[in-house]
This record gives sequence, C-alpha cells and structure tokens, in this order.
Amino acid sequence: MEGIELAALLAQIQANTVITVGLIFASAALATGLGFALLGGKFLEGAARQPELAGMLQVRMFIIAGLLDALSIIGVAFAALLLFANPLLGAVQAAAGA
Amino acid sequence: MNEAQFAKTIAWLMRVQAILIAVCGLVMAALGGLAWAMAALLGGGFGLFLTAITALRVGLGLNQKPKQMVRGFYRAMLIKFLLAGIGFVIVARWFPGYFLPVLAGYSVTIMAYWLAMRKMALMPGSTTDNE
Repeated sequence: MEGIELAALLAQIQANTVITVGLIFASAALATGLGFALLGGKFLEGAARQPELAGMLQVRMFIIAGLLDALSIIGVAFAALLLFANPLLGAVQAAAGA
Repeated sequence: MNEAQFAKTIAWLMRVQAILIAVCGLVMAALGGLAWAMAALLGGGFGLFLTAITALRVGLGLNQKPKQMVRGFYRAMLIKFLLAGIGFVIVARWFPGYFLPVLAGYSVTIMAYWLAMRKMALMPGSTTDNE
C-alpha cells in the first residue's frame, strides 16, 4: 500500500513538473517572440527614417536582445533542470528511502 | 557606426563580461571550493563564447540593407538560443550538481549587457528625444 501511495505522490510531482515546464516554455516563447518582433520592427522603422543610423541601431538592438533572451535562456535552463534532475522528486525519493 | 566602432563596443562588452566571470569564479570558490569555481568559469566562458559568436554574426551584417541586417540578427539570436539550450540540457542531464555555479557564471555575463546599456545611455548624443 505504501508503495502505491509513493508512486502516486511521485506521479503527482511529475505531472505538476511537466505543467510547470510547459508554462515556462510557453511564457519564454511568447515573451521573447513579442520582444524580438517589437525590436526588429522598431529597428526597421528607425532604419527607414534615418538609414545612416542603421549601424548604430543595430548595435543597440544587439545589446537589448542580449538582455531580452537572457531571461528566456535562464528559464529554459531551469526547465531542463526540472526535466532531467528534478530536485523535488529527489527529496521525496530520499524521504521514502529513509 | 562602422565596423571598428562596433568591434570596439563588443570588445568592451566582452572585457566587462570576463571581469564579472572572474569575480563570480572567486565567489563560487569561496562558497563551494575549486570545483564550483571551475563550473562558474565554465558557465561564464560559455556565455562569453555565445556573445562572441552572436556579435560576429551580427557584425557580418553591418553595412547591409536593413532587411538583411534583421535577418542576420535573428539568425544569430536563434543560434545563441539553441546553443545555450543544448548547453544547459547537458549540464542538467549529466552534471546536475554543478547546475547552480554554471548558471551563476552564465548569468553574470548578462550583467555586462546592463552596463553596456548604461554606457550607451551616457554617451553624448545618445538620446532619442531629438525633436
């Protein structure tokens, strides 16, 4: 009986983890997509108005993009941790082993 | 802005990143010993490498038409995102014990972008309010 309860608990944690990872991926994709779309659109707008400033705008776009995709990458990194070495699962397994 | 100015900005950015990575390595050495310090340096080095290849690809698109510049820029960002994703999956899958220092090392490279933004904001004639 205890084995079944433990398996149910692990399954519940895994299910919640999968939902969390999905939310992380979805929000990262949505936010980065919107951000990059705005960034690219504004760059084209600026370059069309003042073509001589296109190079300068490109550098600024590069720097802002570095910040923009950083949070998504960190989110994906945490999602990878949850998928491959879930610390929540480890805690339950350790408690069950003890 | 020509290629020389772009290269100068990127060199400054990477120099600041290297300094921040070294500081992070020292902090991690104090917290978790040599292994954590090496992991932080590895994570930071990975961030530095990604900055370099992205800057290279973006730099190649300078002085082209805006459409081609944006295309090159998006491709560079895609490659950066993919490589970062693969790197973190490798760390999470095979070296989960070193995930925190690697992520800390990578994260400090992002601080350099904030500093670069501040530097650019303080540059003369940087304001966009020119009406």
